[in-house]
Amino acid sequence: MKQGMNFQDMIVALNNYWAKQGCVIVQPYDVEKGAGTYNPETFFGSLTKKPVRRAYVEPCRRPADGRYGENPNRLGKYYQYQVIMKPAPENIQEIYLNSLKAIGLDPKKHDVRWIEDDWQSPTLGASGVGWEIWLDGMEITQYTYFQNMAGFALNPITVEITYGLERIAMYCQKVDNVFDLRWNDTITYREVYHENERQFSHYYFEESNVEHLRRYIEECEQECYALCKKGLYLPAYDDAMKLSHYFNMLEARGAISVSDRTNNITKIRNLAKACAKAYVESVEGKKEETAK
Amino acid sequence: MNTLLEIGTEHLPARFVMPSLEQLKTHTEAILQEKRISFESVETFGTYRRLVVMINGIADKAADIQKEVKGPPVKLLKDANGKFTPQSAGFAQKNGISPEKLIIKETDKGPFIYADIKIKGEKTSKLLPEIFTRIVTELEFAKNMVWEESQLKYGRPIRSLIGLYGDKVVKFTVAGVTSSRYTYPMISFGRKPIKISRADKQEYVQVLRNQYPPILVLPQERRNALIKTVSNEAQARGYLADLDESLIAETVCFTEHPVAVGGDFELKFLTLPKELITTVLKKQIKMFPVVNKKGELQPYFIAVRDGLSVNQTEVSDGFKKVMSARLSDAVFFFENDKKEGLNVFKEKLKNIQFLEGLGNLFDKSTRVQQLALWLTDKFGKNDLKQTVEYAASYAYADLASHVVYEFPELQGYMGGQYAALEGKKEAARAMEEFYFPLTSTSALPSTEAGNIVSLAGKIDTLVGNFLIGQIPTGSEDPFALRRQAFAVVRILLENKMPISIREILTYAAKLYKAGREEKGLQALPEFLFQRLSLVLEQRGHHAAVLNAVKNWEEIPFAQVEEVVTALEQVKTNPKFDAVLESAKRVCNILKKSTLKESPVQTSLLELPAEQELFSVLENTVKRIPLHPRTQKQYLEVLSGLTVLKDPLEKFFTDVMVNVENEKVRNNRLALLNMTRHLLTETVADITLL
Repeated sequence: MKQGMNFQDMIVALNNYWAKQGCVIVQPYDVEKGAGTYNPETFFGSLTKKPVRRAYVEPCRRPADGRYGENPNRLGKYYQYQVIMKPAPENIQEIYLNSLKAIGLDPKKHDVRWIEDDWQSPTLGASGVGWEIWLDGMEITQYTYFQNMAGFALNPITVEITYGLERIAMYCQKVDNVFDLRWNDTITYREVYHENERQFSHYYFEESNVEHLRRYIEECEQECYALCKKGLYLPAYDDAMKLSHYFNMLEARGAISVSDRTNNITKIRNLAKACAKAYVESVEGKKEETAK
Repeated sequence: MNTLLEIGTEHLPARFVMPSLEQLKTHTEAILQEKRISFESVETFGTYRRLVVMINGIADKAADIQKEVKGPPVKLLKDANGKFTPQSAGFAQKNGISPEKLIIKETDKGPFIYADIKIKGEKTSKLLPEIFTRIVTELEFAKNMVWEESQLKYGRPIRSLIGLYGDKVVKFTVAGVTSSRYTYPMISFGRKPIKISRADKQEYVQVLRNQYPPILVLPQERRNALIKTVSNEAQARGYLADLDESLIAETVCFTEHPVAVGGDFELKFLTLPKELITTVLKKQIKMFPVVNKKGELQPYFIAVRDGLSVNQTEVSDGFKKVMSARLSDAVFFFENDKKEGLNVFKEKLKNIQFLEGLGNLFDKSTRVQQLALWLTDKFGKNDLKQTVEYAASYAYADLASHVVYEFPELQGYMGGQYAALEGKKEAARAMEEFYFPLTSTSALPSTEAGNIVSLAGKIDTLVGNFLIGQIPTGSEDPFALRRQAFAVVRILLENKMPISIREILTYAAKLYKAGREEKGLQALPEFLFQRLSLVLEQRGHHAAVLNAVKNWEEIPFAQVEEVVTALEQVKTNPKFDAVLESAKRVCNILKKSTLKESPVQTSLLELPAEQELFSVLENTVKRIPLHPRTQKQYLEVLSGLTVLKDPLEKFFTDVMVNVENEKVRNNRLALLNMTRHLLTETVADITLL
């Protein structure tokens, strides 16, 4: 008998569940990023007072984590399911636990443990308070009440729930190798993504052009600031995301020294701050206009 | 009557729970005192999802206040027209009474206006909303967050509040949550309200215990249940659980109803060093290891889940999978480390900074090795030389290993493992115990070589930090230098190492190419002195006695302790007490004089009392051992000083020191100086007792 939901059914179930909670189901953002939090929906969504409810699948690229498709647990590209709600509903923990039921995991029949884990992202200048959630010892979700984003103290507070989709699916389907996951009932994860993993590992570790990457980083930085000045914070933020990805690629290439690393993290954080500032100014500026 | 307050939160971090319960108790008591409400007792208990405060036997009203407040002189009561003056009217208003109620009382300074104030204590029922609000909001956490509009800073979001006074609800609102008489089940089991009818501990505890799954709200009850469920699980397999105390304490704080779930792991993992396996289990996935009667690790684990014992097989499989993955990681790190070996790690130490401006850990290893070998030489322990040399040289090497990078708490232990793999059994033991003692009361290294190497490492760390001015102040001690200094004292003292701290520090400073008098280093002896007095106290001495041992830096600590012991013994002798008093007098007289050191001239000793004192002094000096070394000798010397009692008293009765004749005067001062030498410099400065 086949155990557990297949991968795509799980995504469909989460979409249906969170849609019922009033979330707008948006599609993945089309710029490379290391984690769902970088998605503009979350980054800008957590700023300002405007209520937000979004849910989406987000592909995450971690060039250094690629293993040519040969490691049963490690991937250079994988999927997160991301939910943000602002303000955080009073019964959000219960809402989250019910979402596990929706994908076939009854919290009553498992050990669901909430382990203190205060998430932070030095590159986004962001931090939050919350937990990593363990299901029978395995980390399946990062649950965070954002406190700061791009250096701004937040109010109201956004709750961010990030599911590690492959891990949860491996648990539900009882497989030990991510590539053995059933994507649907006939196709496996291997058929969909193995070649992708293999090729991108080669690219990230052996073929990517360090000189080009360094140049891209400079160009992204310049353009980002220029766009921010013109109030075009959305394309400016694309540059910040791209820069962050190129930096991750350099790291995978082993082309980043310790001091390089610190410098680049500061660089990205400053870009994120500039974008956030341009956004907040434009929103609050508009408000003043309407008030007059 | 009793009150019950329950703060229902989202999952508090385990480390917050016990400190919160302690704080809630003391803070509630303080608030009640401030509000003048008497009570029998305050009890606090709870879980990571509910913190509970019970006030037992609370009075139904606050105590009345009755007091007289003194005001201006009576002449300011009324003006010429018989009206109250602004002064008296203002005074009355300030004290909340009408001017007519002011009274006049006689004082030493004439009649004054007084306000006789009587305030009726308010009803407890009226005060409780404010008191409960304060108990909840004034609780402090190690780390805070905000989550709702009022931006209350708290450990985790508050989601429910119970406030009961007897069987009545105490209404109050914090962070948008209004109190009621309802609490809630464990979060994974729904949100059906649980009604609490009145403020009664037994009843409340029982109602929660009757839930499905039960909620064990008393930490002690939860602890007992935890130990029982874990032990039973181990016994079912014919083994014992390794009931690690800190893991038990932590588990009690992240469960409401602990249920053990056991499982096995592959035998191949047992080839890993034992501590590595148990660290993965206890620290990374919070599981209890399983051992046989001999204490040998078995390929089983016991995890603890919060809730019910349903679906155990699937849950166990989940835990097993996670544990296999973690242990596989550990195997990977360990195998990589074995390929590299201590020499490769030691090279890598060149890239790890020790302290800003003081080079890297490779340099430190070199210094520690030199210091350790020098000590070995000093102690004449040639047979230990090879072991000390190897252990000191590689003591820090494991800091560059993969395993220690992943599990920092295994520093030292892993170094020992890698040394053992290279066949260095003796050195391996010393390296394993390099960071001992881990706490102020735990064991020192078990071998001589281990103590020498461990001492050298700690001395070098202290000297280095002080040299660059990294000196602990107040609560700031990021490098745990106090603990290291404490350990230094214990190693020197408990091993009776025959070397003075001054000699060690001088040599250790030289290895940094610094003098012992270098600026930062000047504070180090005093820093060690404080630890020495703490250690002596821990060993049952009166630390204040240590002040008299002026040469504590110049003699081995074990000798310092012997002097202290001798001083403590001789102090019980009443004769000695009298000598002590005279000694203080001698010192006071000398302090006021400007006499230069000069020998006593017997020809100038005029009075019998002078002559007698001189001869007793001379005899004593001849009789006592010149360089006392043992406690017996110290005691002998100190007891010997009591012969001075009568001559000194006689001297002070019969002899005037400050006489006209300068020669006689100076000779008498010289005699006193001789006395002072004997009393303050032979063994200890007894005037400092």
